[in-house]
Amino acid sequence: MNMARERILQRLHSVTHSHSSAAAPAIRDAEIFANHPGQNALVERFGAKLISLKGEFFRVRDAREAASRVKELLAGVAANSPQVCLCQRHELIDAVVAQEPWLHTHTTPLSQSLPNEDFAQYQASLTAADFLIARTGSIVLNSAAAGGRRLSVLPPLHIVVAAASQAVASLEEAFAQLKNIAPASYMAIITGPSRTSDIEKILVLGAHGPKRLAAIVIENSAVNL
Amino acid sequence: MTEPQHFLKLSAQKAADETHRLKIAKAIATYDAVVGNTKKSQFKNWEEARTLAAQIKDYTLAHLPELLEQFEKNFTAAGGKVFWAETGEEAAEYIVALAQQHNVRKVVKSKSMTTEEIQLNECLERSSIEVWESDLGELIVQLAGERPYHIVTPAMHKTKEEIGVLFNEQLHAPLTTNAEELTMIARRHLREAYITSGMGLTGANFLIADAGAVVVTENEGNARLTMSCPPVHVVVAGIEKIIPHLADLSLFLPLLATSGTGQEITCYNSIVRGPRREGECDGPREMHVILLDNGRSQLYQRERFREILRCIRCGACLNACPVYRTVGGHSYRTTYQGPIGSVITPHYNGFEEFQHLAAASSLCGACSSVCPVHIDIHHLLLENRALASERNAPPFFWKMAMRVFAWAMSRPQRLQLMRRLVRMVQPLAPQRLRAPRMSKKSFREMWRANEYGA
Repeated sequence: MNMARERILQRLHSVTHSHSSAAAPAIRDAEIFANHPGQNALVERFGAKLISLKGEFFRVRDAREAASRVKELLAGVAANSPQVCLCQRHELIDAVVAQEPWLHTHTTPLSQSLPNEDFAQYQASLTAADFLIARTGSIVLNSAAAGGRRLSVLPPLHIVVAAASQAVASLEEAFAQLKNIAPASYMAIITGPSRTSDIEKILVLGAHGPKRLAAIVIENSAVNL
Repeated sequence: MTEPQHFLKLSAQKAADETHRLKIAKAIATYDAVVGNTKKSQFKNWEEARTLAAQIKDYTLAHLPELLEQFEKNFTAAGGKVFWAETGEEAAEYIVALAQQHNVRKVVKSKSMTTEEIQLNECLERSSIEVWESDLGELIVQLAGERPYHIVTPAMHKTKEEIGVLFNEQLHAPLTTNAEELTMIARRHLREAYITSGMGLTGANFLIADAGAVVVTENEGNARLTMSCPPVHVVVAGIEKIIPHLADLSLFLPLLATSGTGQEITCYNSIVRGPRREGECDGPREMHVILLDNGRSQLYQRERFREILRCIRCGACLNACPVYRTVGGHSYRTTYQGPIGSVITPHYNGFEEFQHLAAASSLCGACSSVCPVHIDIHHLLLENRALASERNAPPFFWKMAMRVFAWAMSRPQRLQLMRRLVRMVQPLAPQRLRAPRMSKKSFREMWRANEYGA
């Protein structure tokens, strides 16, 4: 049906290669990267890296402490408006919100059918994550677990809540563990708040995505992730 | 005017424009400093990392048709649609037809050089479809009615003062020269585009065969919004963008970021495997990937040129090139500028028109020395020169000049005669072409006179 397909593939197949049977070279992050953290102090390494990228990092003991951190962050952006933050529907997020009545009244669980226009009213979002990458300070999340694609990119403040057990050393490890994650259509590797240097190489935060990114990592999470 | 005439005229103008030189020198000095640091701090051994990347790309090229078919199979199984386009026109026609079929009046686009290559914006606008460029640098050049100056930093040649005036005139924003305020003007201006566009258009930095995924690298978040909000997502990707495994990203994302901007990894990397799935609350209902050939498979068939298809479009060879730094990105009048552009443009856009770019090189090899996938760029420029002289007999003047050169170089006395001749006529050269004066004595004369005190 698509003749172009046949013609392109035919040209590509017409070439014979001398070493085409060799296997693809394997990548081992620990052998390539000078700043590979090994298996030690993964959460500290993640946090230090995120802060160096102008993200915010909080390490807390339990869901109660996480809830008060979230409240502080939201109180800063939302003073009096009752609906400030959209929340992903997720076990860990529910556990945090349940700790703090103020969060109940100031957050809205993400509804399945929220139109693009309505997103603009929210100043913040609260999501879970799949992995925290210690080497690069990255947060990995997917469109199933993070409540879709828009939640973590449209509102100007993105708060991520994760368990310390979700920290891994490097991207290599996250990719290896991905088979345990429900398949989703979209996955994001987020490394710091949105930025641009398109004007005279001057760094500006909050180009189109969130101006602020805060990660709250819970040491003892009751939720089994 | 022919393309070579344009190139000569524009490059002579830019080379003599000191303000332009200072702007570019400043931007590239910033780039050089941060890239140098990141190579050292992130990689155990940069040379080994880029050799490994080249090996993975070579493996990919040795299995290119199989990997493309694997990508197609996996991506289609996830509900995506794949369209193969032999030419830019076929790709653009497909997208215009798709937009019309969905009654799309407005398209939001994130930065993509491949869409520039197929002149997609012009095609969409001819069909009365609005195109909103959403990358800040792309927005600036779109509003200025220009082409991107650089494949990674499209508005590298614009000062904040110029951008302030542009935003004031085109977007009716208050006049400012503050980079942060300018960025916020663009942010506010584009919100509406994400929310109301009927189609989102992106390129792809990588296509992953085993995951059936499209990978888009960025910093601003505009690409994420472009593939999250509109109901249809269309990707235009060259067939050389494929890599075999999802796990390969753990090398290629840091490699591309380091060479492109000096970051360890860019702010956002999106891995997209088709349209919204059942149970997901948003994302496009349809996703199309256009696999673009447009001359690539012909390059693939030429063994000597095949390695150019390793290119990941990081822009490092532009920044390193003394010719690019001097004549700037617009003198080339091509989608891809600098050394990489001079190699591929004649093959993609017409050899007759663009073969002169092979001469826009000092053959210093700076491009090859910085390439993160080890492409021997400057030797490929020589290959283009060889192809050019096979196709066309060199001009009379060139043949004569080469004869004089061969005559002069074959005897020391003749070379000395040439030195004295050049020394005599040098003061007649116009100011901008003036080079250090030829010395009065030859090296041999100085050596014999023991002027080095040996």
